[in-house]
Amino acid sequence: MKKKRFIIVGVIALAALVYIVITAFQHGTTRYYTVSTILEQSASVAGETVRVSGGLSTITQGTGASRWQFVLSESGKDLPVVYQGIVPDAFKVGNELMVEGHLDPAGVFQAQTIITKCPSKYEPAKQ
Amino acid sequence: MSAFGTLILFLALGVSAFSVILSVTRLLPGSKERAAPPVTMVALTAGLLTLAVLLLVIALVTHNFQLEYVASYTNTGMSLPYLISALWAGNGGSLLFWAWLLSIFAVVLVFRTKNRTSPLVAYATPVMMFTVLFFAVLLLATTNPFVGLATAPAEGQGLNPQLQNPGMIFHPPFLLAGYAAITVPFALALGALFNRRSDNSWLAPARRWALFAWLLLGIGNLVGMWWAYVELGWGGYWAWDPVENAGLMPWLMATAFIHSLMMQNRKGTFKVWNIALIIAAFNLTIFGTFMTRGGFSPMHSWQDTGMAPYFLTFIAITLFIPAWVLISRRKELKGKEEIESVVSREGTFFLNNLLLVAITVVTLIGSVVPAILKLASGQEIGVNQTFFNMVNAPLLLGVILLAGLCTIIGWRKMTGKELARRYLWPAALTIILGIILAVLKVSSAAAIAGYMLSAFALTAVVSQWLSELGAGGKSLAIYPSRFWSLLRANRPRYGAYIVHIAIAVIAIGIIGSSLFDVSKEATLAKGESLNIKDYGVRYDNVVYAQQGDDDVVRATVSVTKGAESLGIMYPEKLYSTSYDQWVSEVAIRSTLAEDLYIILGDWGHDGTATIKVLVNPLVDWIWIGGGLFMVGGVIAFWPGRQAPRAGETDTPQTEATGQPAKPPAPATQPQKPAPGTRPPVNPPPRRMKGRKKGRNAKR
Repeated sequence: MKKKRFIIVGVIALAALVYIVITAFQHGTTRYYTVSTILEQSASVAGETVRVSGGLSTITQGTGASRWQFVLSESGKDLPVVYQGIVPDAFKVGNELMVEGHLDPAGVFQAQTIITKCPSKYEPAKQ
Repeated sequence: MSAFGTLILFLALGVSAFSVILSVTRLLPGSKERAAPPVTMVALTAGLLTLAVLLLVIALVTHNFQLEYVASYTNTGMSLPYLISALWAGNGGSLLFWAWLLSIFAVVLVFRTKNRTSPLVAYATPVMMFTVLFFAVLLLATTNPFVGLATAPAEGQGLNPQLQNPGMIFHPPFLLAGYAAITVPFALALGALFNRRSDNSWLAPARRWALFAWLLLGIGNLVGMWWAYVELGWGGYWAWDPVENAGLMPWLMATAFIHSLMMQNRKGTFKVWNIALIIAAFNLTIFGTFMTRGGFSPMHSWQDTGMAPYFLTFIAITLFIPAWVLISRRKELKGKEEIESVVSREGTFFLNNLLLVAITVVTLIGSVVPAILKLASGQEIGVNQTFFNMVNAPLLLGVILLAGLCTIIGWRKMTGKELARRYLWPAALTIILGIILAVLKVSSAAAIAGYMLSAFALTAVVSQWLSELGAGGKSLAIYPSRFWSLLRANRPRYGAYIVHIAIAVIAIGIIGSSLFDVSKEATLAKGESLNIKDYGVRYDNVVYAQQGDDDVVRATVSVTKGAESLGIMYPEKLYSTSYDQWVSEVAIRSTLAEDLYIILGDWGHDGTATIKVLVNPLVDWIWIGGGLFMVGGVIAFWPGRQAPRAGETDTPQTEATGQPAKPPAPATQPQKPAPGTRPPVNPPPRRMKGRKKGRNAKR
């Protein structure tokens, strides 16, 4: 009897946990693209918050006004990005970046967050 | 140096391999040296690795840039502490450090218990040495710290400026030591498993080591959080990054393990569970390291060091073989397990175990799903903090609630009346707190719930402690001296109380800073102010300076709170020439109530500056709780006298000593205390295992 009760409670608890995990997954994950793939699939990501990674190739405007316009490049493709705010320390041409935001109808990526690749503790920085 | 160091590593590899083979052959029936661990080989391995570590440290300190490792992580400008800390700054060095600690712990294990319960240690030794062997192979095959350069550069690259912070001197070694220490209870558990011992003889030494590992991991994680907060400059201390999770998961499992060990010790239950837990805990340390160095998030590319096959092979061996043996022998091990009722200490411990395992599983899922999805379907996703917080926050609050409940509740079932009596004060104070918070219009229901649960845990432990101080009608006057005498007499118990209080305090700090932090960003001209909460932050000036080789841009910011001036703060950014990158040095003003956290974002040639200001409430309580955690952990771990004398307290007898409830029976006869019986309040004096050498108290 006792064992049965445990099992029932256990199953309910497990089901609840699974439910929470799935819900959290939907809220807590973002799809991730590279510059070339997002340009290919630009129609399907309209309006959705996604992450895009690429190399920072040019900065058109910056410093002082906190409005940044830059270009991420990958596999020969370019993605113009607009961002307002403080940029992280590793924001410089040549570094790999990830931006989170959405692609607007004009094909410009409106970034809410910039995430830079952590300088690997375990890899000597390239000269 | 390079060749010599590599040679030493090769020798260590050879000796550790030999010690594995030797210890295994001695376990086979018919061996002359039955069940005696190869002490000399173990000691020799440790000696060789110690030599290797010394060589590397000397190379670092003497700026031997011929070694690639030294050239990559140090330069001539670094001070001695950071030079030494470069030992664990890089891949090869940190793995060597880990392997070295493993070999030292193996020596301690083999020498301390050489004369007793030999079968246990005889089985545990090959497990330990096999792990050492794995690291030796890994080092030589993929990241040898003694690799030399064709020509020695004149100057080294230096340590990443973000790592030149006191926190980084302690965070890696504590974590690495914790990982190494977890190997010992794992080895002991496997020893018991392979030796088909279903008694509790492996518990006492396993518990000491597990507690040691748990403490090291806890400190390592806390220091890491502090470092991230003050140094990385994004205003937070935990981001559920796979690298962070790698340090957290073993600690969670270790916490579950030390609690359920108490249950096994006391009631003979959960034998299979315990072995499964420690297998999981150990494999999580290895897997976590793999995550850290293999690149497990889309942001970290797969660093092609070629380590993956080695890691995966090792984990396959140390996970599947023990699991298979455990499953096939589980019936032998099982006692007449039964928890009488959830409303008992066993019940709360069991629930606590389930919650901790659930949190670990969720964290593991969140950490590996992106990599797995990428491998399986090519689609990449990023898992952000929302996922982890949504699932783990309620689970963690559950753990805190249990931390309060389990301290008071007794072993075996408690009557409703008894429960009510014991929980009256904590519950009452908690409800009062809830009312106060509601009246103060604390905006988040989740926060109120969190605060109340933490307060409950805190008051529960304190009230329990007070009742023990006053047991037997003692007057208030002698509470202070009784406090010390109780503490000395029963360190594990009161150390645990302090740790539980610390956890509640840390929880309060985390709730406050996570749910009530505010931030504001603005570009200001000189003299312009930014207002946040009741702070006025006025940007005055920005200056350019030099600090060694590096450029510094320092902003001067005047802060007022209401009408009162709080002085000047200097958020700055440092440009490291050798690493070619900027590093933020944030300015933090801490009070117990909140932190004012100022980041210099940007500056223009027109004299404007962009700053970001955060107000993080209650952050200091995390560090205060962290300090308490260390104190409590050290007290709990400190070797000392055995169980308290009878009549010391009227509450559930401590399981402090980790001694079995009955004297251990010979290995052939599995013993299990009859369910529901209470161990005698006045236990007969028993043989002290694993403590002072050669002391056999009379039976």
